[in-house]
Amino acid sequence: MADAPPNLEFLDHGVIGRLSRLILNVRNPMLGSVNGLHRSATRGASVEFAEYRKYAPGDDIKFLDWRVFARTDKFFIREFEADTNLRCYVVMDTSASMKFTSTPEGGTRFDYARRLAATLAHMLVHQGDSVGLTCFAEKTVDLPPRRTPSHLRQIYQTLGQATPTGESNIVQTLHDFAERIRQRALVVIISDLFTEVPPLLDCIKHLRFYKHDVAVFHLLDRQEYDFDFTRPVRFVDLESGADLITDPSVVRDAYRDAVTDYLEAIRHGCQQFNVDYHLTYLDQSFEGLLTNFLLARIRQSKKGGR
Amino acid sequence: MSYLQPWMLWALPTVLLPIIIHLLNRLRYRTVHWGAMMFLLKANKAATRRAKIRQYLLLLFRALVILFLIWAMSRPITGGWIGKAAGGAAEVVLVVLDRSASMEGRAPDSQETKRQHAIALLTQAAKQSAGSRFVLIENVLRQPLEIADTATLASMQMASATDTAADIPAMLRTALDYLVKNKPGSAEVWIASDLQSSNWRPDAPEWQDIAARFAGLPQETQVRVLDLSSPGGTNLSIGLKAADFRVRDAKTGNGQLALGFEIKTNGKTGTFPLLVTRDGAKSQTDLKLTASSQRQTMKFDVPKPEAGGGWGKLELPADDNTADNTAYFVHRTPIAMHTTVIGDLPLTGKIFRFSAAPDTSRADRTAETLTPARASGTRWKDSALIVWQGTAPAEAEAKALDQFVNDGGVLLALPPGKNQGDSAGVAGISWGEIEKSGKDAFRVTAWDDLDGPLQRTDAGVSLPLARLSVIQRQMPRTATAAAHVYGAYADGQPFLTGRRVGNGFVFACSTLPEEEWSSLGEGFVLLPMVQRLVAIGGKHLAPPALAVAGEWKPEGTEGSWAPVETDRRRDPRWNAGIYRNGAQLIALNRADAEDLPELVESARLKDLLRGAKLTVMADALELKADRLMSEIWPAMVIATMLFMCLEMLLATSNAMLPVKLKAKPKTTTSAEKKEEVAA
Repeated sequence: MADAPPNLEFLDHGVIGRLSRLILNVRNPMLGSVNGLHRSATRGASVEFAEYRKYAPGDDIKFLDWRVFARTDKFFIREFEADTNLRCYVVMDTSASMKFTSTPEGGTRFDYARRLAATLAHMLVHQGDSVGLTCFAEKTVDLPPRRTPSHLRQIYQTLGQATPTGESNIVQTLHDFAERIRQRALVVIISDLFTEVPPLLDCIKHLRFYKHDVAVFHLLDRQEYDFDFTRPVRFVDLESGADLITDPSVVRDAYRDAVTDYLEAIRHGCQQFNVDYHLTYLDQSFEGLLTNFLLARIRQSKKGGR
Repeated sequence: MSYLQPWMLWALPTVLLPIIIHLLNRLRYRTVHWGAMMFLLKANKAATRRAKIRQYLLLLFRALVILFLIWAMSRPITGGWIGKAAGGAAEVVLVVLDRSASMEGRAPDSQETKRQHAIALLTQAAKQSAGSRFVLIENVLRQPLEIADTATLASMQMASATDTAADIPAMLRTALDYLVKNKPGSAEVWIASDLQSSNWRPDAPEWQDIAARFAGLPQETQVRVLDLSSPGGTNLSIGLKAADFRVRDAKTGNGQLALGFEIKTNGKTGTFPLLVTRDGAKSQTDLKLTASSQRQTMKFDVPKPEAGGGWGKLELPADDNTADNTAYFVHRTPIAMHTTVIGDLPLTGKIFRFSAAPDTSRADRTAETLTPARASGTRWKDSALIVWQGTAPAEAEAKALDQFVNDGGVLLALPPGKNQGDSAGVAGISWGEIEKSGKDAFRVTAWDDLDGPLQRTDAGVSLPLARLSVIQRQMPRTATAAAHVYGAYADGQPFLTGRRVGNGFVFACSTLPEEEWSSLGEGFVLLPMVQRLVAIGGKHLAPPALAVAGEWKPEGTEGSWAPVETDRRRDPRWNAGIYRNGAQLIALNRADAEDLPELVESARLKDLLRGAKLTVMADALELKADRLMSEIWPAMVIATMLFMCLEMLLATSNAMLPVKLKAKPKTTTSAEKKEEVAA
């Protein structure tokens, strides 16, 4: 470990400790390489009975259900669920717009996103799943999914070094990403999603097409919704630097309308494509958000049954 | 529109305050680094148009609120005459008030006289020029009189009704004198007049001078004319021409009173009652009016008047102008009038002596003839008429003659009867060559039959001047230009001329009553002519019985003249009426010119007063005093409040907002919802 110890202030060990009783579940079967906690798309060697099927020549006869043969004089194979590990890709927006915060003491959107990514990565590695990290802005930093603790350290390091700069190109990034990652995975997108909705939904569709489980943490500052400015403000775009002087009281309602329409479109799109969508305001408790996220997934997987 | 507190208008730039605040606010923006720019750009695009209009409207309303507030505080005045003036009140306002008799006329449907209306308007106008000093110049005394409180104008004696005539040019000259003497910083001249032409005398040459003096004033002087002229309703006016008493019975002194009067009407004819009061006793007769102007003589047998004289009045029924319905007269026993005929033609002297005193039994006419050499024996003091014929008087006599004429006597100059060249005769008149007519005698074809010695008789019969045949004539050459021609020959040469000299008259006749000169000696023209000359000259021998109000100046202390009719408060300085001073009586009447209906056209005023900035308030009679000008600040305050309300409404309502304000959607996230469920 010749590298300087990474800046790990974005890790809240208290939260990690409290969340360690929970696991991060996936909602659909995965195709992992090793045994793990998650349901696999294939039949395997877990203790969980899956189904009977007719014997076909070549099948290992140790899976024949002799009792059924005794009753019906037919050969049936007992199949069991396979437990496999999970590949999770944390796709994090590091564009300049992530720098925004209305309450500097509460941390920026980027801080929130980084904490979220780090905590998820920690949990996943500790439950034996592999985690990859993609930080995208103008340039994309890619860490392939691994499940070793050293990889986790590398993730921390990457997160620690990342700074929100440049313009985001979320649509192009996600399309590229979907093309690159063919194997089923859990894709956690952490972004402010400031882009046009239809292309964004296309990306999600693309991801869902490859049967990825997509979770979206849509990070918004409360002020970005409320727009509670009173005096004229010169708004400088964090990404492009373009500025606009306007009287917020004049544009407030139009602004709120635009935001509401946008959020509604995203929410509706995500529902349509079965995306685990979380609209998150920065003033919301980080721990609560994760707890909800995890519990909901656990509940869903139980409901779905093994 | 003018302002009572015009300095408040300096605050007008504060109207820009909301706009400046708006701009400052825009300048004092906060810079925010913003992520969600896409919504902002969208919103900005959507919001701009209507929101900008709304913003501008708000700014406009705020500016208007301030504008109207300041406007109200500067106390604007609108309406008519005063309201038209811009800027503040002048330092001095000269009120030129025509209170002549014609100003007592009324508009057909009004209860107020023109003068009262003018005063009401002026008072109202003065209220709005509170900072000005007001100086009244009225037409009788023409003395600038400072008015401490304009509200008392209506009750001031100096603004009360009079029976005088007004001399507007003289009043304006007084005003100009005042302005030159007192040098106020700014001045206005307010003229309230009915534009009667006889008062304004628009053809008088002094208007040139007045216009030049107005132009030459150092301060800016605004002249405002309150035009109170009216078409006039039904109005009759009576003017007394003569009140002659002739003794019929020398023993008792009883005699006959002849009242000559003229009645003018503006259109209305018919029969009117005429109330005659003689020595307090009233009687009524009916008067038939057929023309717009009618002269008439009424004769009464009256007993011998008292020493001061008898008095009375003629009254017409009340009409639109109550001031011109009464004519006052005083008559007394005529005193002896002496005529001195001085000449070297005995026949001429005789004829004139008989013409002047035809009835030797009558004591009121006496006459004597003297030769020029004995002219020093003339009774200068007693003579009413001196007829001078022949050579020029000696220096002493010439002086005495001048004095006689100046005192009011009448001098009739007759041709000397021989060519004298250029040497001046009596009263500076030089006589031309003797002209002889050819076959046809000179004829008198034109003469003044309204006034003067050749006027009609009381019965309205013209003197038979046309029957005169003049064979020889000698023209008076000097000073004929200034003289009034009372009679003229067919070739335009004067038969009889006369001019006023001092209080008296100098008449000149161009022929002699001798047989070889003319048929004048037959007497049908000469007798009435001489009698009238005697009557004119006799006026100065007795204290006047009739005079014009305003022109007559009481001698001695003013207070000693008291009105005979004690029921009316009258002032001998300007009110018509009968006044008594001891035993002496005088009847004051309105100036005849006041009855003339001619008006100066408004357009002419511009020319007359071309040196001044002129505003003519036409149809001032129809203007209500309270509408002359009014403070409109209440309206401004209402406007201010209205704009405040509009501003408030717009600022708080959804109207004009770019998009309708929707109920604020719940901002709970799905995560929060789940949290709730979990709880």
